[in-house]
Amino acid sequence: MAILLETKKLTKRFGGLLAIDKLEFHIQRGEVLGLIGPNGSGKSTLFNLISGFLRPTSGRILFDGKEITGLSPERTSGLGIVRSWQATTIFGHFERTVLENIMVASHLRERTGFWEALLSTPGYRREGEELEKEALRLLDLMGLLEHKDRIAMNMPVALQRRLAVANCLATHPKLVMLDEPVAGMSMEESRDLLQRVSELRNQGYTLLIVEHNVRVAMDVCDRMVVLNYGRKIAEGPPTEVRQNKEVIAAYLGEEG
Amino acid sequence: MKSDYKRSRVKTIIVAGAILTALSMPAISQNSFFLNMLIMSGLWSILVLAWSLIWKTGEFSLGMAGFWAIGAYSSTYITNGLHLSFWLALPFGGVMASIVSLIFGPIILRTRTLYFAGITLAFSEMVRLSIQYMPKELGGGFDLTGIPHPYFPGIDFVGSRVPYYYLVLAVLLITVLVMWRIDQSRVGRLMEAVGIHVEPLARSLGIGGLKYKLMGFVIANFFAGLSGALLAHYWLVLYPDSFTMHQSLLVQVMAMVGGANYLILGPIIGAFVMTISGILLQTFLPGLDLLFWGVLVVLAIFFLPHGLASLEHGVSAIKLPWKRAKAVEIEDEGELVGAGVKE
Repeated sequence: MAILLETKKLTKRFGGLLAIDKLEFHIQRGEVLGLIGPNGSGKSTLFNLISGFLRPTSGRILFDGKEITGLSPERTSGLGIVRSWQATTIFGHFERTVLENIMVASHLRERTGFWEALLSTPGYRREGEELEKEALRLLDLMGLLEHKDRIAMNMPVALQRRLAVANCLATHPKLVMLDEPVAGMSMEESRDLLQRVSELRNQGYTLLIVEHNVRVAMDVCDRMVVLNYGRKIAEGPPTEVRQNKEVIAAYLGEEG
Repeated sequence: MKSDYKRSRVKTIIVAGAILTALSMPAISQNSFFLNMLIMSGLWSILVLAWSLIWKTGEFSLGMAGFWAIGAYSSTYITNGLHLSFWLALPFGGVMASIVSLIFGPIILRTRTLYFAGITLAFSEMVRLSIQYMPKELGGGFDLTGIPHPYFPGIDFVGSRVPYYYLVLAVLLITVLVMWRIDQSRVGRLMEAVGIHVEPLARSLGIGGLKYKLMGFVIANFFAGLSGALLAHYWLVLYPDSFTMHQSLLVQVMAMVGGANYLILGPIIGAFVMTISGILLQTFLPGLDLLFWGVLVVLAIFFLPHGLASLEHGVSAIKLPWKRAKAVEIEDEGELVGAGVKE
């Protein structure tokens, strides 16, 4: 399998704190990679570095063989890296419906601009129809089709999280990075969402999932990377990682 | 579906009725005091509409007076300084305001929320002072007099206010049309998507934060400039003191009273109510206009937190603060009782 994303000696320092320490890891095309680690181990920082919300202190990030170190979020998402958030998962303001959320998220595929919108040209309207068709397909994929006209903010968290994933997919990404997609959800809901997400692999998507709930994550991931204090302490298939002594000491042992 | 269709038809009828009423206003009365109220309301409406477009992108601009001034003074420079036609000066006022916002926008839009409000306020004051100390040859100065009336063959702009009324109405309708198209289109949704709380989400989906904020800022200030150009050729004299913080704040008050979350209806209602009441009070009860406005704002916040425009949902939009408090109390009691039963 070809390597989709890799980091080389990636380091991020906040003042005296070393958040990411010479991290080297890679994601293969078409896999579901789980990223786990205790609180403060640098998972979110790593997300921000890859998606461009933070600039690394040193080191490089390569995506699809191209250098993306320090590119802005708009650029990285244009290249096909899209991430979700823990807190703000969906466009909830202005009473946006589910379908409208996806329509906004499919911005990257829009070809018409302000003037076409102002004049409502035939091309603009045709594109709107195409985007809507595509949005409905994605909603179907995430099992949200029946909820398409609901106001996104009023839905249960489990459905909102599904919508967040659909929002990411609407950009036609090469790499989907999900930041704790099942935080605050029940075990069954978590399992359901992660099941859906891992099935996306068969549709040709590559996924990077940060997860707190190790048991759930182990069920769906092909491979796992474990961080602690900004360093990679283990890497491999879930069964192997589970047995790793350092991981148990740093993480599972504490939990358990 | 059927009720949706019905509602949209009712809406069409109301809009058509409003336009017809506006068109026939001079037939009701050609009193210059009356027309003055309508013209000033129209000019303020355009300015508040511009403000509400910036508000749509999640930012709170306190600098509308600055862009109003840029429109007024730059258009006056065309007619008064270069002695060119008003019909060139009018779009020039808007274009100048756009150019200035295109140059300074990327700097101003680096800030958010309160800092944005602060920096736009400072920018507006800088514009005012720059105009004040600019040499007369470049169109600045403490006061500008002798601004010519617009000229169009066959139409008397000097003797009557009716042609000017129609001019302002035309520009207002164009503004409304553009705002409505933006509101209906995907571009408008994207502008909303870069608002304060969701901007990181939008950026991670590839929606350029600066791009859409700047787009909103430039378009909004274009209309602020147009309104300024119309104002200059209506007043025929200009003082930099006409474009102070007071005017910028008045824009927020109008938007608040009218309903800031209604992109079109709110600003227009707010501008008309505030301007007409202001002019009437200044004329008949001088000195009381600020007091009245203060009371109006407090009442609006208390009873109509979403502005007068929220009355489109009927009287149920009126919130009675004391009633709501009571309802909460009862709910709490209910919960307590419920908990007791469970135990």
